[in-house]
Parts: sequence; C-alpha cells; structure tokens
Amino acid sequence: MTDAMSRRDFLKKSTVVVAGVLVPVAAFEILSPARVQALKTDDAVRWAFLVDTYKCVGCGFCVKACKLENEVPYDANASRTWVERYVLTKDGGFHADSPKAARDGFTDSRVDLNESGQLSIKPEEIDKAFFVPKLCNQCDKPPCVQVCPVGATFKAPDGVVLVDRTWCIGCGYCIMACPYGARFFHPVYHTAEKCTFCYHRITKGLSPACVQACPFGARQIGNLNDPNDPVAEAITNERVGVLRKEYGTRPQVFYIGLDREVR
Amino acid sequence: MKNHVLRPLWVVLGLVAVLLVFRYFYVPGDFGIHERGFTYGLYRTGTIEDWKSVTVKYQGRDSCKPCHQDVFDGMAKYPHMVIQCENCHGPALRHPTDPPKLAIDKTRALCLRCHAKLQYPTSGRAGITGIDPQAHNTGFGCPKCHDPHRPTVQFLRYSVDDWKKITYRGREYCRSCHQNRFDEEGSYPHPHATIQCENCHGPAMKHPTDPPRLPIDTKRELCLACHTRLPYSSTAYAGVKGVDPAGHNPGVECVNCHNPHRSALQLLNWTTVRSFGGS
Repeated sequence: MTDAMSRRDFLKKSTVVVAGVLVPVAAFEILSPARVQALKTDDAVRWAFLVDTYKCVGCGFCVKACKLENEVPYDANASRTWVERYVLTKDGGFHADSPKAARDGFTDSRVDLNESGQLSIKPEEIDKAFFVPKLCNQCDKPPCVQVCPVGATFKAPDGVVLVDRTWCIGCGYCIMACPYGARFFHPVYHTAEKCTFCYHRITKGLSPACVQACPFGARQIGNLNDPNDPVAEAITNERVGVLRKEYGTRPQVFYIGLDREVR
Repeated sequence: MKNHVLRPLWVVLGLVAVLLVFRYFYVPGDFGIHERGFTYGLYRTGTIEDWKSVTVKYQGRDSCKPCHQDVFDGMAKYPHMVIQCENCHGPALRHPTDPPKLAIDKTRALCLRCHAKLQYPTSGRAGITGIDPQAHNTGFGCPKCHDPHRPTVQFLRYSVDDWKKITYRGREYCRSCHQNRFDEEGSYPHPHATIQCENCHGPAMKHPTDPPRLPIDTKRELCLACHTRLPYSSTAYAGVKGVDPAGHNPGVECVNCHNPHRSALQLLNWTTVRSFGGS
C-alpha cells in the first residue's frame, strides 16, 4: 500500500482547492485584452457638434429648451449647457458673464459681475463683443471618465459620454476633473450630471433640444463617420477650433469664430 | 510551517473569498469592460437603454403644422419664421392630448431675449433691431402692439394716435381714487376744472400699477405756458389771467403760493405771500 494521505492532510489540501475554486472565472475575463479588441467596430456613428459664434445672438432659447427637455430643475443654479457673453473694450478691458446660464437670454447691456454688481459699458467703448455657447465636449480622451472610481461614467460606442445614475456614488471627482466646467451635481438625483447631446433624441433620429431651438443655426450636430454629413464636412474642411486644446482631451465640439480671449 | 503562522493567510483569503462572492451577487451582469477598454469603457450596458428611453418633450415645428397651418402661412414671409414654435410656447409633449393648451407668454422678458438692443460688433446680435427696455413703453407686454407671428411694422395693432388714446386715460379714470381733488372746488369756481389731469401729470397708462406715481411738475414753465401775460391780447388768452414772469416773484415756484387745483383766490399760504412783499 502506498503512503495514504492522513485525514489532516486531506482536509488541509481540500480547503486550498475549494478556496481556489471560489475565485470566479469572470475575474480572469475582465483582464483579457483579446476580448476588448474583438468588440471594436469601425462603422458606428460618431457624434460631433459644431458651434458658430458669429451666429449666436445670446437669446438663451437653447438653455431653456435643454432645461425643459432634460428635466434639470428650471430655477436651480445649474444647467447642462450655457452661453457666455464676452465684451472686450477698446482700452484692453475684458468682461465675461453668464447670468443664470443665459436661461433668460441677455436682456441687459450691463455685464453681470455677480457679487461685484453690474458693470455698464458704453457702446462706443466696445471693441468686440460676442456670445459663446458651451456644453459638454464629449471628449475623445475624457478626464472625467478616467477619474471615476466606480465606473459610473463612460464613453459610449457612438462617442457620447454618459453617466449611469444608478451606479454613480456622487463623489464628485468627475466634476472636479472636467476642465470645461461642464459637469455638475444634479440637485434632485444627487449624482453627476452633464449634457448627453440629448442621447434619447439623437438615437431616434431627432436633433438635440438646443440644436432644434436655436433660431439662427448657431448649434449643429453631425456624424463624423458619414461622408455626406454637412457638419462633418464643415469640421474637416473649414477653419474650426476647440476649447482648451492644450489639455489634450480631444473635444468633439468644434467652434467657428473662437477668440483667443475665450476661456 | 506551524499552523499559527499560516492562519492570518487563511483569514485574508477568507475575506477575499467573501468579497468575491458578494461581488458576484451585487454587480450587475452587464457591468464590465466594453468598447474602448478599461479606462473609458467600464460601464453597465443597461444604462444606455435607460438614457435612450427618456421622454422626448420638444416635438419640433413640423408637428405643429398640420393643425396650425394658418399661423404658418401667416408667418411665412416674416423674420420670426426661423423661430421654433416651442421656443415661445413651451414643449408640445403630447399636445393636444396632454397638455391640452400650450402657454401663450405675453411678457416683455420673452421678446427682450433678442430685441433688447445690444450694439455688439462681430456678433449676430448687432443685426437684430431692438429697443431700450427701460425706455420703450415700459409696463406693457410687447404683444399689445406687435403681432409676434408677423412682427413687421405694417401689422402693428395701434397707430401712434390710437396708442396715445390708450396711454392717456382721461379725467374720469382719475376720479375713482382722487375724488378729493375734484371736490376742492368749494365756493369758488374751479378754473382748472376743464384741464385734463394728464396735461400736467403725464399719461396715466396703468397707474397705479405702473407707474405707481405720476410726476408732479412744480416748475414755473408749466404754469407760465398759459399764465404768461402777453403784450397783445389774442382770443385764446382773452379769458386767462396772467403775470409778467420777470416781474412776478421770479425764481420762486408757483406752487409755493398757488394751489394748482384751486382758484388763485385761494392762495396756499398768506404768510409766504406777505414775506414776498405781496398783500
């Protein structure tokens, strides 16, 4: 008879085996690069946005439409999109404001300086003045997605960065990480919130609420993977710029008429 | 190795096992690394469907056209054609089922979004005709005069003369609150009884809502407009008593002595008059 295992040895060894079996097989799948590679598709939609700051008149209908369409509390001090006014005077002065995120438009020629009050500027002193609509840039290398500790925010296959409200823990890292200030805490859901390009509309063939609301065509959305798309054609062929290019976030919102003073 | 040395290792492995079992049940099945790798693609695929299923509220102007074709045809050649109906009237949602009627916003704030004049070079805003909100018919909603669907001048609802009739209310409008002024006649004839209150106090408009107070002009020029004695007599001035402005208490306001609502014989303050050397 060969050396039989003692009972003690058998128990010790079987514990080790059982402990090993408890490790889920899925733990190894997550780390498999081959599976990730197989899921990449090249023919998907890739959303891009075009803003023409020459056409924007600061009416604020886009902000109002966004708040109502996406159920962001109307009177809350937060909006998924907003319009900034820049007034540059002939003596080199620089003033910018965004009263209530331009929800009610710009009806006062005085620049709103929050606690500092309101600043009157004579029309003859103005060198350049213009409006810059802003929204989430749906970056190709989004810093907000990188810092999420739980995987609540992500870049969807068609390019839109979304937040999973059921998974977000409300830590606020993404709000801090965004260099454009596009994210905020939703006052009701207490999770991170931001512009989604009206994902529920673009996936049905409609345009985002802000694009539809703009009477002057300052906002347009298009598909970069569609060669016939006029927006894609404008982005590739015309002179366009992006915000904060130096951060390397690769934003997908392109601007016509961006001044170097724009923050 | 002795048992007691390996025991902490078993404890740690036990905790790891507990964690992994908990994770197996708690983390949803569709959560994991999807397209774009671990850095950008770690998410629960179900959330994409959640975002797609949000209700669409704004329907767009093409959904308004079938029932409101008349408004469309009226607007067709005019500048507001580019504005979405829902911008001013709110989201259509499931109109006409829900909501049965959309809001009709007649406030000034709505129009001022574009038509508050901002003279901004390099911006499209400079090309939009506008007004100064503090100066242009304050207190009245814009649709009172302007047709929002056909905003050009030819469709103004009131001519300038008609507008004056609205803003100037007439004496009877004042009587309801200011009867005391009407009663001041007393035993003396009230020569100013035929003058409109608004001649001196300006148009009532929506007083007392807006403006809450009408101006009280105490300057000599107002009275002297009628009460300057002219060297010749004209039929218009024949019955009106007047003074020589340079001779009659120059620099002193008329209302110091005279009550504009009562006859000159009922002077305000005889003490004041005597101090001026009058009698």
